[in-house]
Amino acid sequence: MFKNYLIVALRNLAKTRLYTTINIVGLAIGLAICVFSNVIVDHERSYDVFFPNADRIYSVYGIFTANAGIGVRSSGGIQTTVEPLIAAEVPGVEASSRLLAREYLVRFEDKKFYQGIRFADPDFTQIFQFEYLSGNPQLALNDPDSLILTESTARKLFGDDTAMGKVISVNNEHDLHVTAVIADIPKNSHFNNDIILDQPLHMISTTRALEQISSFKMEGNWDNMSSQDVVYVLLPEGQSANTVNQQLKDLYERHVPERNREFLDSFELRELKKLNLFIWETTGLPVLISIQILGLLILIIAIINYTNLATAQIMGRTREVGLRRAMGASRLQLFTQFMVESMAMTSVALVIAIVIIQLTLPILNDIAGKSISFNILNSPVLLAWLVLLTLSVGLISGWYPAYLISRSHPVGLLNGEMVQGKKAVLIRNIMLIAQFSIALFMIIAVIIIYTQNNQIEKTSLVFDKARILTLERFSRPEIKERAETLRTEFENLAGVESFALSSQVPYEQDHSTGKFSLVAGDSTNMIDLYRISIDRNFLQTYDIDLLSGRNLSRAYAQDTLLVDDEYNPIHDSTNVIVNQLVLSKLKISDSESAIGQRFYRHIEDSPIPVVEYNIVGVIPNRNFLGFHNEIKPIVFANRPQNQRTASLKLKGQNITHTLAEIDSTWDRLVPEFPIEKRFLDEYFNDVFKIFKGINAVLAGFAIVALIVALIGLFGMAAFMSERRTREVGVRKVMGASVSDIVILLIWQFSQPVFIAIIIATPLAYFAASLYLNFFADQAEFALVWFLGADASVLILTSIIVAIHAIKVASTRPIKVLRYE
Amino acid sequence: MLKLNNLQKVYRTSEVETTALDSIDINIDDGEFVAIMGPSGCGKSTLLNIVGMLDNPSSGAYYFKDEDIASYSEAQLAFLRKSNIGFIFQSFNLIDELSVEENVGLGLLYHSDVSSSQRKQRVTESLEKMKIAHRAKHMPSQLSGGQQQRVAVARALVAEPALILADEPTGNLDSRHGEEVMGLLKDLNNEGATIVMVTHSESHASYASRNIQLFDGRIVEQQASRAM
Repeated sequence: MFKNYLIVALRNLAKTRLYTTINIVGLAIGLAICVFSNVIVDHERSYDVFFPNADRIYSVYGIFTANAGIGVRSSGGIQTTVEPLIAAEVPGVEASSRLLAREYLVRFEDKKFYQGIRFADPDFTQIFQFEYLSGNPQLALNDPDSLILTESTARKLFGDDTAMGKVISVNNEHDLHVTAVIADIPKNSHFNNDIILDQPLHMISTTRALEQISSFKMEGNWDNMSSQDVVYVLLPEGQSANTVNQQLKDLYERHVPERNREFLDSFELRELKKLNLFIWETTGLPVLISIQILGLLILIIAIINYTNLATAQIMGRTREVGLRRAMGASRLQLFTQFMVESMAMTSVALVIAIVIIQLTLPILNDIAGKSISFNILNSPVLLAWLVLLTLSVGLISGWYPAYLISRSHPVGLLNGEMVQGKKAVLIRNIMLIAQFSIALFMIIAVIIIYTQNNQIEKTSLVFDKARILTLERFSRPEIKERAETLRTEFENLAGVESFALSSQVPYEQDHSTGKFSLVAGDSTNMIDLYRISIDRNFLQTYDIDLLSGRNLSRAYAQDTLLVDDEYNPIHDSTNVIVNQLVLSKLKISDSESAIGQRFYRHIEDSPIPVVEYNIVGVIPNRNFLGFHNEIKPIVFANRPQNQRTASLKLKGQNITHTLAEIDSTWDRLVPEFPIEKRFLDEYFNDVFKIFKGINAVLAGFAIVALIVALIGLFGMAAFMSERRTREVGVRKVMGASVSDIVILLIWQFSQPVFIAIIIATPLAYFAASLYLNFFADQAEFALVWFLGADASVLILTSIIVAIHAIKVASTRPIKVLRYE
Repeated sequence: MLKLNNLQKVYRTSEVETTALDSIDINIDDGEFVAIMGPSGCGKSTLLNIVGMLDNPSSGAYYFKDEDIASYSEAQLAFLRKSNIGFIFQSFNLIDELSVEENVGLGLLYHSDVSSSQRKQRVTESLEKMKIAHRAKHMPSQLSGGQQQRVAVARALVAEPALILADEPTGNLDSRHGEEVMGLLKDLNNEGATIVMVTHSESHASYASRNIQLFDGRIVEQQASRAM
């Protein structure tokens, strides 16, 4: 019996080749996308699981208060001063370690390069059990100048020589010696996520070494919270994280200073395997869940294709079914027969889907720098999941047609009649509407994101980012002390227009703020203002015109603010430039009257706790921070010690030559440090690429969704045109022309699309406003986005229907009517 | 009304050549009621389809209202057809998705010179004439075979064609409904319509003024109807 079903199923599939192909292609695409999106999300969620103890390892993070004014709810890192407190006061923790990421110049013999180094406490090797190729895990971080290298870093430094015991120099000052070499950490570890941390993990030294290399104060430092500074803890077997969270809460109450509580609400543990997901959370968008939902939606479109076409096609098989009923087949047997067909179809589609995934995965891994694997034979869970998915898809897509035909009366079936009528047409239309609503929604979303991205790109042009070259590392004393010489030499180059130093350059996400007041010492009415340190050439280099007043100058001593080793000012007064937003914060009516106005900066624990700021110039509001932030009120002072980056404005022509000159000038003046140069473009693209990437992925989904829906429509249109040949014939006999018929069929198929437009457009509008809220600088809502998407889908569906309609309408009526 | 001269229709497939019609010469005058008879496969329907311009002859001449239409394009034929010819089919060919009045309205839908209010009125008149107006809002599947064929006749009439072609109009009907439809056709003929009808039934053929007997694609006999 089963064999008979299968034979009939296969013959039927072969007989109706067009529809079979459409169904299988649609299902295969739907399955591939759905499986693929789940595999990606699974991969993202399975980071770091290969570490022994992975389920007992946590990082400590901070939860921000609602009025912290930070885009995210929680921090990536934590103040490093928390770790000794945890070790001393939290009983539920077995081991704990800080891990600070810093970048230094590393030198071994004639090799020198900037390298990210992690600095850890001795417990670190107990928490994370790496694979040691040489060295003793227990002793690897015992000496302050210990250094653990990954295999590839050891090879980069020492080639095939043994690494153990070799000495490398950091910052040309400090020596570290290699105590262990570990195998490279697998790609799916948060240690290799270069978005969370600036660089993948290559080298680990000790926190004591860091204290020697830099002046960074770890203990008692509550003011430094960075995603580069992390605290890990290992809980004992069976210890619940909730208990420890409670203990951390108590620790917060006991130790966190009042000034930090304004923005920091509490400490909590974050599971190791969730560390990787934090990157997705920081975008503020539900990226992973969206990928899964989009994958599922496309599968739904494919399932609808199958159900719709199979239901329609069944009308052509009524006689076969009637005969089977007459021969004694029960309803259940018939139902089973049709289910076998849809299962067979889905299985074939799954095989194709697997092939598609296997072929495209290496390409995608390559593009995304991932190591996503898809090996069904090695993973019984995956295999079981795929089988389950296939069964469900087969069941869902085949159920309705099977039910419909098994319910029909045998005599009616023999005469070619089936339970059908208006209800079936309605259901078919509802399914078409659902498909096109989904596809349209995605397309409109893509257009919105694309337009918003364009808006960001357009706004970013306020700075001539392709012509500004930045040189980093001016925070290094050795480089900073040569800054003026570098300035003179660079400005003498024919291709360089100007040279400026600043604490940050536009598009950088970093920022620092300060507490200010209008009246000296008035600590009840404090205003938060953003601070950027610039030199006298900054405005010129970035083409910023003054609205009033003058630029900062060397002619006035008060235009420069010097600080001591602790970065506390040594003057009690300085001249500054502000942007217009500062004026409104300070309740100053216009930029002319702002000149000469004073306000005051409050610095806690500083020898000079109040510094007078005197406005000498006002500039227009420009967005210096990332473009999904609002424009902020910014005070520009010249604090040379804070200036980390140089900006060189290049003249348009012969850039290659100019760059070579810049390189040789640098090498001549700063031979011991390599030049680190980037165009301003790259800063912008660092952030922008995330949004571009999201749009590209969504666009991919939208296109696939539309294609699958159109494939289904193609099948439906082919089938319906075929079914309606008699009606078309009658209409032609009545005098209808070819165009009359084509317009009629297009109109009838367009109705579900019209309804889909009515459903999808407001939904997309709603989603768009949610997305746009994320940006300070929003693209104008334009009706044309929606109408454009709606119109293109309508045109595409019309073309597809027209292909069949023209064929049917051109048939001479006699041929059509002869079917009787 | 129309004149066929030495008309031939040959069907060719890759292997066989079948002559469906051969040396057909027919003249039909205005106001005639002609019945075409003959056994299955003799070419009756093919002849009717050619007369109705739904099919082309392989050779020979077809004069419709004294014009040779052999060289007419599909569009020209469609225009000639909709302004002159009404069709009645054995299987009614009503469109299931349209109501009775919409089906009848179809006969005028593609006449751009008829406004929708005119169309409505003429549909009502036509349905009244066929005594089926009370079913105007029904769907075809809710009607009996005889009622369906009356709707089909109403549709054929609504454009007031000069020529009505009926392909076994009673073939799917029982004898009572068959007689009823024949009565309607006779009335139409009496009112001046030219009718060409294909039929198997001797008795229904007797409603016609002239019978043409076909056998193997040739006319074997043309005679005035016995009943006349």
